[in-house]
Amino acid sequence: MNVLGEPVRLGPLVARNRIVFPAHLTNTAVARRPTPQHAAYYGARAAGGAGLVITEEQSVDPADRPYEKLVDGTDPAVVPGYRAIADAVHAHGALVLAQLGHNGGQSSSIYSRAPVDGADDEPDPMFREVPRPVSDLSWLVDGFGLVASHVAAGGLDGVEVQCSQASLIRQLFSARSERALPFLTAVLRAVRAAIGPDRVLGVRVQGDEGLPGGLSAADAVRVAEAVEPLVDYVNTAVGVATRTLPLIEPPMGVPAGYAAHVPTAVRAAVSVPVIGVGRFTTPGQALEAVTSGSCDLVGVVRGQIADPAFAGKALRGERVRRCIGCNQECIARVGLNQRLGCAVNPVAGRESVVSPPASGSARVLVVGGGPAGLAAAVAAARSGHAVTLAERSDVLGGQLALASRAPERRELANLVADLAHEARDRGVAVRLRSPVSSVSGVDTVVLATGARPALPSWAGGLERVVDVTDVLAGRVAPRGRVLVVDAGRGHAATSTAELLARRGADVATLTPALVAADALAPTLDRERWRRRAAEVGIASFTDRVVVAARPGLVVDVLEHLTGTVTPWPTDWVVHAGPPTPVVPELVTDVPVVRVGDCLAPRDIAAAVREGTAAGGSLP
Amino acid sequence: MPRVLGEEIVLGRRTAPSRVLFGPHVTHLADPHRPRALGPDHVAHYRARAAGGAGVVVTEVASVVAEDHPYEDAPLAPLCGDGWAAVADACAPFGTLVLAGLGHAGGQGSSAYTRGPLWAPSAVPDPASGEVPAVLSSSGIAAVVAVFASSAALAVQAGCDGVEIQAGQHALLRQFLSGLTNLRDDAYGADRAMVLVEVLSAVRAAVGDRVLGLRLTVDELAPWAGITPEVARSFLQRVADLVDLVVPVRGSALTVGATRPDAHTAPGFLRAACRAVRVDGVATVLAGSVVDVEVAESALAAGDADVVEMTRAQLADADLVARARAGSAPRPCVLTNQQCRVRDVRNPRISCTVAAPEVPERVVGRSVGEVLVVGAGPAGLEAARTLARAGCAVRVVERADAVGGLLRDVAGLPGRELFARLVDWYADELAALRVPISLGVAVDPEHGVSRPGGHADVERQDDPHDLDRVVLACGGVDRPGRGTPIAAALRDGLPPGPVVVEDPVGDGAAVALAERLAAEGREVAVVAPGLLIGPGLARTGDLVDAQARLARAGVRRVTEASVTAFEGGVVSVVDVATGAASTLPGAVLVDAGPRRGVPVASRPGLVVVGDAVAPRTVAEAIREGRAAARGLLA
Repeated sequence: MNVLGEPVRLGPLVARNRIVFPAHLTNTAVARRPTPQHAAYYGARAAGGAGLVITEEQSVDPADRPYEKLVDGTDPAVVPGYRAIADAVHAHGALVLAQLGHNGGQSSSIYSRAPVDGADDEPDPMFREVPRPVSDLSWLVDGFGLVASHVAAGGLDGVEVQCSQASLIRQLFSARSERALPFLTAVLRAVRAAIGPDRVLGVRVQGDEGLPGGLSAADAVRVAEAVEPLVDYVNTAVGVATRTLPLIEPPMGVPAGYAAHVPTAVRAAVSVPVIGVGRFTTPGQALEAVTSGSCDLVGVVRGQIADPAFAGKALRGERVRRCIGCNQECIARVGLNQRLGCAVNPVAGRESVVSPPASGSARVLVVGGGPAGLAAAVAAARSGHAVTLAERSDVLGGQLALASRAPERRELANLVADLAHEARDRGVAVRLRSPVSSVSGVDTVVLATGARPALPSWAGGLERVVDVTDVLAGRVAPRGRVLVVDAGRGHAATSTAELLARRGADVATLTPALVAADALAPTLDRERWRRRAAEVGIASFTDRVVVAARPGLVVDVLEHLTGTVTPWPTDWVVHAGPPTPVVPELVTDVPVVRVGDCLAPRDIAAAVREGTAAGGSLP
Repeated sequence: MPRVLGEEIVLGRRTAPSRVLFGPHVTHLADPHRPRALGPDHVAHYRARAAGGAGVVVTEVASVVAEDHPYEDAPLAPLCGDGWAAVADACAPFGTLVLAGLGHAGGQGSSAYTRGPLWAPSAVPDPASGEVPAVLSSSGIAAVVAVFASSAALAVQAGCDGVEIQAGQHALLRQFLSGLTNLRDDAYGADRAMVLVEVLSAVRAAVGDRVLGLRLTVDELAPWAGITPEVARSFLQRVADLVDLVVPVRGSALTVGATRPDAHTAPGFLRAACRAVRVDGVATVLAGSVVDVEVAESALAAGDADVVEMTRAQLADADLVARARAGSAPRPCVLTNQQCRVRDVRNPRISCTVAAPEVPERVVGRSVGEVLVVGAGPAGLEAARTLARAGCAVRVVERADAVGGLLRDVAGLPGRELFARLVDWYADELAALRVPISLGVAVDPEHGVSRPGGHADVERQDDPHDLDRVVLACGGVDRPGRGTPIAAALRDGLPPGPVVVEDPVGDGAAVALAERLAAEGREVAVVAPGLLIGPGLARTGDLVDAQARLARAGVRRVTEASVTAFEGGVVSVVDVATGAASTLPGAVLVDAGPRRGVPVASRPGLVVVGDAVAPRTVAEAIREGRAAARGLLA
């Protein structure tokens, strides 16, 4: 037991430990109401040991609907859903609060068909709608109070008022409006009146908008000091949900604790407990946040999505399955109006529908030690099967192991390491350098042989036209002018381009897409990549495809928008395109299940999901 | 006036009451609790078109199997029995034939909801998603054939008059037919039409003598490997005995926008293809932006087609056929695609730029005293029309010397010409309703009416009651800034020299202005903060085409950038991600940024609508204009 395990008083109630599951979008609501999935989702983190769970935002105004699956807390029909969430979390001894907020101008009229209400008439840079400036705020205060009464009726332990990432209140503070603090104060009083003295009231403040002249930690301190008498704790945040979203949900290149300056400053100014957040993916990082004095409680969102038992394991000093900050399923999917998932934890977002794994005692051979094979082996072993994993090469990890060699992709290797560790813990016999051609002595085979690089036909066997994996594996070391062709394989082209540029090559990227590095945008990697690419002098060209290559080396580049073809001299071409599934001819008379890239080349999440499903459902 | 399109036509063994088809389209009208079924809102949607005279209604394409889940609330055939029955019942009183749309999106589907792989003829990634599909085995193909048949059986059992099978855009069957996506080395590759023939044979057996329609891509616009009209005709000849009607369409996965383009593509673009693929014994349907009754009549009269698909025209006016029969002008579709092209992950409910379907058009309310409508843009025109149709006295005052507001200027832009039709339609409607319109009259809503010359000589109205019921639809105003406001640029033109257009809004206006300026021979650059110029065009389907038009016209596209200075013929810009600075030649800087509303709030007797509240699009203007009128009448 360490300091993370110490109980902490939040006004009238006590959280059993210091680990918080903060508010985040799940896209789980149906018809704007909470669902059994909400209860199962939060319940799983409570069961995993979290001390405090804060639900995703509940809207206080039916017309405030920036995304389809935002719960309308003003509808009394939400109360049974709140009750189910409260019961699911309380069953495991954690506290649960509802976050209340209004998105103001950071919203859309797409569902409401009404103008969005903003602090002023400046459009949000993402939604780009001209808001109707809000003149009368009293009805919004009433909305907060109404929803808070529903929260109390549903038996939740209290309310967190959001003034941080997507919030009309933040917009008022950001616009330096004199109405901001009186409005927030009125909201807090209304909420307190609705929930009474026996429930927790917290506030989440904005401490770094990441914009010139934007709100800073000093502003967070001023707000926290002003409302301290009204609240039981202060939560902190950095980034604006629309304009500086990558600050809120940073990808794997951003270190843990990147937002510590905000809770540190607030904690120095107020005496109520302060929550800090900041891409904490391991128990050690969470512990460090508290022991360093930066915060009293530590918010861990993605870490607990990846491993619902994060908190309990942190208190017991056990390993977790780490979030790798890939943002594929929790951020990219949610941004596309899809239910939250997790690349490393296929159960995330499906807690209410997943049945426990089958049990059995079959002899299982998993062919391939990439993420799909490893996940299959872990799941099969968890179900009681006797599992052997055969990997052709001398390392585990498959494409992930290679991809993790590129700049800012290192944490991909954490997934390989964690899965390999779990496999060994569960008694999987791992055999490296073991190609499989015939199978005997097993009851079932899981084929997870992945995909191999495929060069386009125009490559024509030219020596200096290579695949990104040739570079990542060290088989070639391109120098001089390198043209990296991004024909669609996620980060492969962009991260290899950066690797080569950092080694001194003169790198240009070329893509048929309209946007350079477009695959990086949904996971919020793109802005950072562009800055790094600018640092190392990578030139990016869009709307172009290579149509021919000839010795020299010269490639012909077609600008598909205009039809212009231009010869392009270069020393090397490094290509990233869709790979080809590897499906070995296995001599066997037992059932064979294909998972991951050998079925269809896709992403990490598909590999882990299919491997886990196959391994967990073997007879 | 007799109209050919209002005449009956025999399709197979059934008779459609008119020659106008309401085609399958994504609606997001599902009940969220039953997202893959057809719900009450679907029924109302189709019933309205049947009541308005549609000859054939094809319901939203239902996936034949759960593994196909192309968008979140895509109908799923096994869950559609009740919905099909309700639609058939609702349309039956009008004689309208109801065909159940059936399909499988194949490699153009989504793995987001099933969490399993996509299935397709070959491992060719879809250009839109980039996702590599899994390859259907021959047993997998047999299963697909079987579910097409069982879905069709369910549809006719539910009371549908037949089915329409999808081999158009977003269709596994097209992917089998095309050399772009079918690279198989088995029998299904040697004969690319084999799956289509198997599916149609099985479906024919399942539907008996009901109507079997086929929606078929006849031109993938990719002659190097894609389906061409010649090839498509050969496919059609092979299935002619199986199908009763065919809807030729165009476009491949490389050209999704070409299937249902906006007004940048001239209406009636499929007439030649229709003629080219006609085969005996199969009724041919002319699709492709047919929004004009005259165009439809001409195609039918010329024998290019037997039926016309007028989906968007019937979204704009559900009573299109009835109005055509009566010789009156339907509310015109302006082909913006802004509100009706809703194959969008956010699941916006289908709407219409001009029809404002969220607010009922028919008004039952008491008549009130005269209403003054200030402003003859779309919001004011719609308010005036709604009031006048309810029998309410209404008059309109407009500051400019013509009606239409911003629409008049926008209609001068390439691809937006049809807005002029909308303005003309409103003018005709108001004239027929005898609504007086005073042009050249400015109104200060706080004080009164002024004569030409503006606000300086404000004089109070003689009758104070006139100002007790006012719809203020005076539009937005320019925001002070560094450059020439785009509205002024559209209205007044620009001085000579290179032009830089800064566009933080990203709808079609800046793109279109740049196109027009480039066509005049100007050097033009567009600077925008996002990843693309005109990202708002994604909803209209014109995004990619717009980039191509700009590129071909030589317009510089400067993305992820904002303007930092404009001085001495030079525009300075900065990359918003990297901070890198650069310059562009610019004698003129056009500010295509957002406009702003007027600082007048609604109060009893005064309703502020449209851009005056917050500048938005035509759709909001019309919606709010109508809602305001209804509010005054209620």
